[in-house]
Amino acid sequence: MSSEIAVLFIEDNEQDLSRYSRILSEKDKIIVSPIPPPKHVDELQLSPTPDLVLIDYRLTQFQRSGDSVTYRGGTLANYVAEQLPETPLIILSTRDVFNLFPNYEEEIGSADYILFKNDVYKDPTVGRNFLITLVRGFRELAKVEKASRTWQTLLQLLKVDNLEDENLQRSSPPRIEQKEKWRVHGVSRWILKVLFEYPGIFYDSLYASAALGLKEEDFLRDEVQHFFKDARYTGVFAEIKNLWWKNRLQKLAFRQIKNAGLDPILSENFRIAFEKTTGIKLEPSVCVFSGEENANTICHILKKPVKMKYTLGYLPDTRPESMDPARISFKAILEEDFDKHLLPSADAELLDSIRRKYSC
Amino acid sequence: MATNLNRMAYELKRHKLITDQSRQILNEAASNLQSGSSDNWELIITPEHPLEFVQTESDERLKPDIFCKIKASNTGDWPVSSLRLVLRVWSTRPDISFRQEWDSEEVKRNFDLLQDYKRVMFRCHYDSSSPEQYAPIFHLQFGGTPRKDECYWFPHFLELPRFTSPPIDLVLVCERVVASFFPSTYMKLCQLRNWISLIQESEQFFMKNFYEVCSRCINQISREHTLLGYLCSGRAP
Repeated sequence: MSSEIAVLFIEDNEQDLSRYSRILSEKDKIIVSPIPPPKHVDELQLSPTPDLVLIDYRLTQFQRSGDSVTYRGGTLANYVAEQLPETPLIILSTRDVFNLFPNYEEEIGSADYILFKNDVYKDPTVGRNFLITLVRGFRELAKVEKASRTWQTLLQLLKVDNLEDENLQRSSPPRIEQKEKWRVHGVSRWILKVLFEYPGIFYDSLYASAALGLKEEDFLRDEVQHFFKDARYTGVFAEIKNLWWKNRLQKLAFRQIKNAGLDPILSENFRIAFEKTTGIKLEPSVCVFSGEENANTICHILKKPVKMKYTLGYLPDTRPESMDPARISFKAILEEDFDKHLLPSADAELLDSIRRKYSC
Repeated sequence: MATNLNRMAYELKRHKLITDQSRQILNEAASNLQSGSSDNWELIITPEHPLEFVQTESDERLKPDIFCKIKASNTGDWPVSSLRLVLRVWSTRPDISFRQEWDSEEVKRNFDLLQDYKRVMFRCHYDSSSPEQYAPIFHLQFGGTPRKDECYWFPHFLELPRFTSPPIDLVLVCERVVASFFPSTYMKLCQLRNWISLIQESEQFFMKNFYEVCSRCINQISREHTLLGYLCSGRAP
């Protein structure tokens, strides 16, 4: 298998076609083949089979030839997914364009990921590494023989332990049919858009640090990372995002707390236990609302640690119930724009009293 | 057992019986359990961070909560070597938390200071007997040692009675709380296979041996002791 990856890039804007082809190409690693959208979707040339397909969302701009197409990237993505069921598909667009099409998410359901042009332009290396990592992950999934694509092989790819198995089963995994088993796109979308997106099975450094009552920078210190090395996610697509298994992280932390003879209160005592057993002093997470130490959750709007008691529930997305629910801090409630309709009804009833109690 | 705690957290939250914070507490308790081994684990939920239920269906002025310390048994006779599981029922409203004619000004000042009328109205605990006590090996007691914030008056020296109870775990106590305080949700839960199997697993692990011992005692033809006598002496057949 070649280490160089072939990317097919479909874009209507000539300037973007050449700009992003150039910045996403990398000698000996990525070859980008740029093409304008074909007049009819089924005229898209997919041979030789690319390793990854990159599609602009709004493809309807007039070409120099005077032609234009009437479909958008989602339609093309559906076609490509049908033709190449094991090839990663990315929509490359701008946030502004998505704002013009409120139903874009439904349209691009076949795509595995969205990359924003601004982000790629700002940091092409990250964009290129992402493409390479995605292709590697797909290859790893596709390598599993179709007959062996069972829940068990999926767990092996994720490198799961017993307790995590059950948590994963409650995280809206793709359906595994008796005959067809799992499909590469279904699995990749579940991993990337559910497991990696919402805290609950995994934590990123922001959520992990709050759960442990640590400042994020201190959680990322080498000594702490060494301590939690067995909790680090190393399964398929691991290079896309730094993640830790929530359950393993907590288990290791509780063991440390127990060794230090302290009560098992994670966000209060891990830091103390770590200092007691290693001599290394770590800074606590600080609540964005009250300034108190040992903030133990994250404000969904401010992306900052906050004490759970200064938060309300928030339902901004369709995450599975098994994931950690989103919370918003009283600070965001008092100072930021947020959608009141996304508060659970019992929490919405508390809004007035919170505003009365805490408004200056 | 850790898996069952996570299952319980999931079901209680899904049926809106506990807060997000309590779900987190249960999940963390499950991870803590896992940090031990199969015969050396401890399930701890601290009184500072108890498992809190929402306002009850039977009376919206009441909120139950639970904290516990349960230790695995290495001997094999009983599933746990030490058990302490406290159930409190809090009042959240001034009209039942404070009685003008009976309560002191100090109590009132406390409430005013905290801007909160939370007060414990009922308190009991499931316990295991200590070697110096002549009491059923597992028992249920009322009162206990309240914390200051509970504002609950109970004479500490009154440690009796101790009623016989089977050994119990957090899952089974949660079932009792739901059945007592959230009856319509309980009826719904009883239709769910997941819920039933969750409770049955705990019954098997915690209660089966206890009831077998009771059954053997009662069925013995010539007995030296009553059932209570056996359970207090620790010399069950």
